[in-house]
Amino acid sequence: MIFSLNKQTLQKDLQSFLSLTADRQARFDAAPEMFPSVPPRVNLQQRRLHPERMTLRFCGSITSPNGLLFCDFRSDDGPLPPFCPGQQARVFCGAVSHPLLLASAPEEAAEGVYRFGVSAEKQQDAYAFFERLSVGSSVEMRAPAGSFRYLSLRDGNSIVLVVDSAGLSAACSFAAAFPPDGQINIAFYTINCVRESFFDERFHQVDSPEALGRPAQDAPLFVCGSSSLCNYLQPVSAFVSARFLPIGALVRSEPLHRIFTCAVQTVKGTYVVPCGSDLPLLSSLEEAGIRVPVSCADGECGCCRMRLLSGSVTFYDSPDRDPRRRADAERSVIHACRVFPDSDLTVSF
Amino acid sequence: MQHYDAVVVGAGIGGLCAAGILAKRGKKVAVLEKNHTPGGVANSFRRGRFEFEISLHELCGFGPDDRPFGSARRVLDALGLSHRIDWVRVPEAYRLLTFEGENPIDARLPFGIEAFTDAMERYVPGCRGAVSDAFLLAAEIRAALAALGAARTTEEKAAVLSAHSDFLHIAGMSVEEGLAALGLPPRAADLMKGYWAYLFTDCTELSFLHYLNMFNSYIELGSVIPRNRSLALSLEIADLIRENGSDVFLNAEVMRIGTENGRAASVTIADGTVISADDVICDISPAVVFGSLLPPEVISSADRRKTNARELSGRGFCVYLGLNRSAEALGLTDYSYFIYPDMDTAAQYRAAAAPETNFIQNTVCQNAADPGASPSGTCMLTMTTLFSSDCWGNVSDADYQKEKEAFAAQMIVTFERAVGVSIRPYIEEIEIAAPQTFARFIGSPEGAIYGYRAAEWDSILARKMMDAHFSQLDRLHFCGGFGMNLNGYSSAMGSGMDTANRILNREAKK
Repeated sequence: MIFSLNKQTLQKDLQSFLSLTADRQARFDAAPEMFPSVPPRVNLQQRRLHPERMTLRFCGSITSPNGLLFCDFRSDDGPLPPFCPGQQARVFCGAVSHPLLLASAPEEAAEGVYRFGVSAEKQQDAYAFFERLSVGSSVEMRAPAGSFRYLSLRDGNSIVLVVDSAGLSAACSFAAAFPPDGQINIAFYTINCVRESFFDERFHQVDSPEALGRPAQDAPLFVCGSSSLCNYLQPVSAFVSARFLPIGALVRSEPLHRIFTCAVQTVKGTYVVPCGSDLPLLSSLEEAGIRVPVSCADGECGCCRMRLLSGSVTFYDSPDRDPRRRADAERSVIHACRVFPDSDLTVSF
Repeated sequence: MQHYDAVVVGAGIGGLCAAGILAKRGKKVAVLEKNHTPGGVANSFRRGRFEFEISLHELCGFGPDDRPFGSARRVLDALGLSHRIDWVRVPEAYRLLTFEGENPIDARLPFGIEAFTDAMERYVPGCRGAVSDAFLLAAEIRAALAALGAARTTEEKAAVLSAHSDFLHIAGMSVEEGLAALGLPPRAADLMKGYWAYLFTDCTELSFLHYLNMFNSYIELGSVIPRNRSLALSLEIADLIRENGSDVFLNAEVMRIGTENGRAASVTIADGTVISADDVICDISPAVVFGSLLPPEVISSADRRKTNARELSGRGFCVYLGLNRSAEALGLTDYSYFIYPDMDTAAQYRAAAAPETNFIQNTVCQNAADPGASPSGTCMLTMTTLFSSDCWGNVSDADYQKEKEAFAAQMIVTFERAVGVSIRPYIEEIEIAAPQTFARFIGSPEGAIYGYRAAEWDSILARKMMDAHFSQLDRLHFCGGFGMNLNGYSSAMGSGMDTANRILNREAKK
């Protein structure tokens, strides 16, 4: 016995104990009877301004000197929502979708124009499709995802952008998003990769990744470009903080030239579709008409994750990269956008 | 139309555990989750070189193999998963820091009842007796609650109460009253109250028996974190469900719950698919279920009143930091920091109603428990606070980003000053989750991540004594954060198992 108690205290304690339920019932009885109000679905600026799918109409294109095809689209529904510069959008042409880079600045979106940049080298299929568009034809676009995150707490007032031609427009859009009052200083760098050429005086060229060490020490480094640019900069990432946005279609580095089958189990039933060994599984599933939930298509967001029930794949990202990849690999969870089929497969999502 | 024995709406940790227990016992269950990943906030995300837990600070109620007690352990043992997860032990209970007033606190409290009592005696000489009494009382509370749970009739319950008079004596007390009744000196009481923000009801109202029961379990059993983050835990349970012939469907948001002959009977997913079931288990808020998922005519007046009477507990705000210096280099020596202006918990709780005045913080440094949690030469800090009002609902979209950053900056500066370290120059990654972020991710009203507030009339004992079942609608169940237990992983897991067992017992009686 810890407390000194007697009959009176016991009586009082019992009353107090029973009043717990009496109080509770009283509260319930006194509460209003109306249906509980459900707050409207929380819509933040990014969310509200990015509907699930938008219909866009082609209104013209320009080919730049370095072989980039810029296509302009307008929306039938008035001004387009702005976005975080450098975001990828998924454009649907019939059953096929392409991840493309939004190259227009938010001001242009406000005027109702989206501009996509497509490189003939980097995305032959998309380039071929867009080159053949006629004015007035329509495409569907899924909400953009993936972005540079500028946060004053982390990035301060100086930013270093490193780009190649694939990331050129995204980087310019990113820079254009900041008010021109000089409070944020942005320095542009390009790496002297083969076949890159720029005619913009804002860009400084560096010969090697290590040469970025000094400017990057004073400012956070954003890298925007193809996967090969990001790989090229790997030595730098060990001693600077680099935020990478790899862009460009994924291809298998050593093609197998095989066609396999993929059985897809969903809540609606099982479908068997062909899948090529040299394309990400996501591309094959979409070409076959299966609606896979997808957002960034870049191995980041997890929307396209699915369970690999049988068969084998090659991972573009090493499963050892971080705990989440390890957990996924141990549980046979794959991101369809980042794996290449190595055999007949069965997946479920 | 497909038919399942049970459908679980929401693959939060509570729903996953309910489905897991049912699936292991041969029931066919469908778990429907609107996100692309299971777990709800029992999950993790990647930024740059770092992988952050969304919500888990430490898994309490998971005893080691030589003492396999605690609600999380109970559930994971029942699922057969306790050894399928790679666990890391948390090294100490907490470091408590206050930064205002004449005599600020800086105390490190260890796990282990003896070690804890010794530490308390060092900080407040003479308090050993009262602290020991507290743990003895906790043992009686545990015994009494178990006996009450087993008692069927009013006579049996009355007998339990007579046999546990110390328990009865404190049963209606708040934490403040209880610690005083034990004769704890105020300073010692302050040290023992350090954990209160985890429950987020102030100590003048928070049920003493609940706090002490939980605090005892915490100190006695310690806590763990999963090395591969909560996503690994959620995926394990999801896999177990599938291995036992049931299903977990992702990207499948439930838009409607259908009824038939006065009972919950089906769910409709966003793409129009209808799934029928004998039982519908909801791991989402009753306000959402009664406010938008069920047809109005089937919701009783009692259920409406109950839901409207209850108050939301804390709305979550988290700052996730990836730092490009090691924890040692930064002087971060502890795993869990509780930081308050002072230990006037009622005043702090009121102050937590607005961003301008909320300085409550619980911050964990992942690397202090798991040095390999992030690459060598880096470390991670996750700062969490809760808001006691819907103040963030008033922030306009235009101001949202600015307000988020401003409050995050305050949390970082408060940490730096209270602990005496420098953090800001080393921030490599930062992500900020405001209540809106949680609301969007798990559909919880106002971004509440602690379910319903444990007000005096809505304490764990009041819930257990009154409502074995939340809703009057037959075959409709609730589990998880908004279930009948209180907040936290082990409570949510326990409520999932309780729900599953309730269904299994009912079936067995037939």
